Amino acid sequence: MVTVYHYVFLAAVLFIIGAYGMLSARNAVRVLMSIELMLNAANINLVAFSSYSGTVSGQALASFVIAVAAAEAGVGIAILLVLYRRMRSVNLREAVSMRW
Amino acid sequence: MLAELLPEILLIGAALLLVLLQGFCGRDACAKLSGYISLAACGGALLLVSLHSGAGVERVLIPEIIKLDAFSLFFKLLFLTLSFLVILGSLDAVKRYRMGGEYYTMLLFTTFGMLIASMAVDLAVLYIAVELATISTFALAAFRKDRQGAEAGVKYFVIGALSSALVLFGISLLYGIAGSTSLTAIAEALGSSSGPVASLAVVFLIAGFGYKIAAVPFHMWAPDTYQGAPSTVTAFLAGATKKMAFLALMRIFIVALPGLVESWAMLFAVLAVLTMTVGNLVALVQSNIKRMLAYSSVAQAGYVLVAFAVLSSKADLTLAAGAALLHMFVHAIMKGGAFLAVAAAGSAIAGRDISDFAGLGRRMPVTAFTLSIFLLSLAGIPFFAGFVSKFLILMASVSAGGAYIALGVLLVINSVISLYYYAKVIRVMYFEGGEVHRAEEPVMLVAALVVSAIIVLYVGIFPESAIQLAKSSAASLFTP
Repeated sequence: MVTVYHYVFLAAVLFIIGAYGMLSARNAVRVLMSIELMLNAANINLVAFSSYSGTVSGQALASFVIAVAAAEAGVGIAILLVLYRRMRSVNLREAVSMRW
Repeated sequence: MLAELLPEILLIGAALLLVLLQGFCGRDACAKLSGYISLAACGGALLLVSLHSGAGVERVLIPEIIKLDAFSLFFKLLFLTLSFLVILGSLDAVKRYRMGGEYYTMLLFTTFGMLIASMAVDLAVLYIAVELATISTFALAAFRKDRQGAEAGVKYFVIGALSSALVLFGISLLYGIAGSTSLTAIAEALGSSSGPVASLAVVFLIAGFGYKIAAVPFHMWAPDTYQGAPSTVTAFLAGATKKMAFLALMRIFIVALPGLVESWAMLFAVLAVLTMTVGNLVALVQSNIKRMLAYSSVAQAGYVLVAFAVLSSKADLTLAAGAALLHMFVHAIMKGGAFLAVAAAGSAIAGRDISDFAGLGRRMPVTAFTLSIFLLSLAGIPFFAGFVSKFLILMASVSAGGAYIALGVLLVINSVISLYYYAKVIRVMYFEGGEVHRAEEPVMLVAALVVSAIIVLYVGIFPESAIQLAKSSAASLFTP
């Protein structure tokens, strides 16, 4: 029997993996992927709660979040391209021309 | 209902018009035309909102989703004033950075998102409106296409995306408890119970919005982004989009989570102490003026958080919330003005180090004079607006008594420390630099600077009406 707790547990694990990836990744594209993981973890939560509580607003928000995530990735990749043209790399550890 | 939404319709209509326009005219002509169109749209929206705010009525536009009250009108006034000033100043700066008309489109989209966020009383709408504004500012922050500009954009993007994921996870937890995303429904479902899930949601929301308001320890991105972005964009980021996160925090915590006030106010108190102190101490050693202003912005966010912490006391809550509102408004104008002054100085000075500003008082007298006004106001000198709002926060914390007084004392100590680095800039501008010749000052930027300086002085010398407005706006937050 799959209960709502299973979904919440899955979402929490996904979110933690995403957060870890975000903080540890050097490659900016990996960071983008980690962000997607975190947003989708929240989406799983929303849809699971929505289905178990019998209200639809969670699913509505989840579909909006999918659109928001796509827009965010679009702008993010555009910015990464600018960075790549300037540094010939998307390694975030090298993006340190400003300090303190 | 359409009549109340006219400012928003005007802005989004103008933004979409600008998107179409880009295909029909040359780059430079287009940038100029787009500038005037967006200035007109923003000015029109500002006029409509200021006509509304006189009426002081509360209207529910869509039940449980969008509500127009005094609180949202106050923030609309703040956002539109700042957008107007930034667009006015950008008319000069766009030429220098070789930015096209899309710059204004992004500004209008951001302003539209912020206006919707000010009216949202549902977490879903609030989240989407905040995201609309944030994603548009990602593009704005990366507008300077050199190395620093790209780095500023990437850092802002990564942190912005992280914070939006944290906020969304917090929202999903609250939805799980209440079965609804409406703020009032969440307040009813939670009551005064504080389960572990609700506390977890509070932590996620504070961390997520903490990144957006650049509270210590979530502030690392702010100096880099503020330094690397074009100065006009920095004025917008520090002045307007940061206040949107404060607005969301106030709406969510005061309306939806009053039962958990003990725990979240405690967190805000810790954040306030860290943010004020670290912001001010690090600002002391900065040599780049934009980084110095960025850290001062961090410190000023700490002052607002003091007012947030006081909300858990038994004292006059509208005084604390009103003080927070007034300080946000005043900070938006003076910090926005200071960054616009840096943009104006940029037309004659290549560097952004404080030492590069030597002799600016004789070189660009109006810019230097208005910048001095903003800096003195930031330091909280009497007869400037910054003094009034800081004093109000201090009054709120002292009237709350007990440990809250300590927060107030720390605020005063921090203000004294901050005077050093603000005064340093003024000294360099007027008493160093030797022989310099007069440089031409950019007309539109100077106009924006003079308007901001007049607002700062007016609020500083005749504070009664501003305090009344802030308090009555805050009061509408506490009436269901």
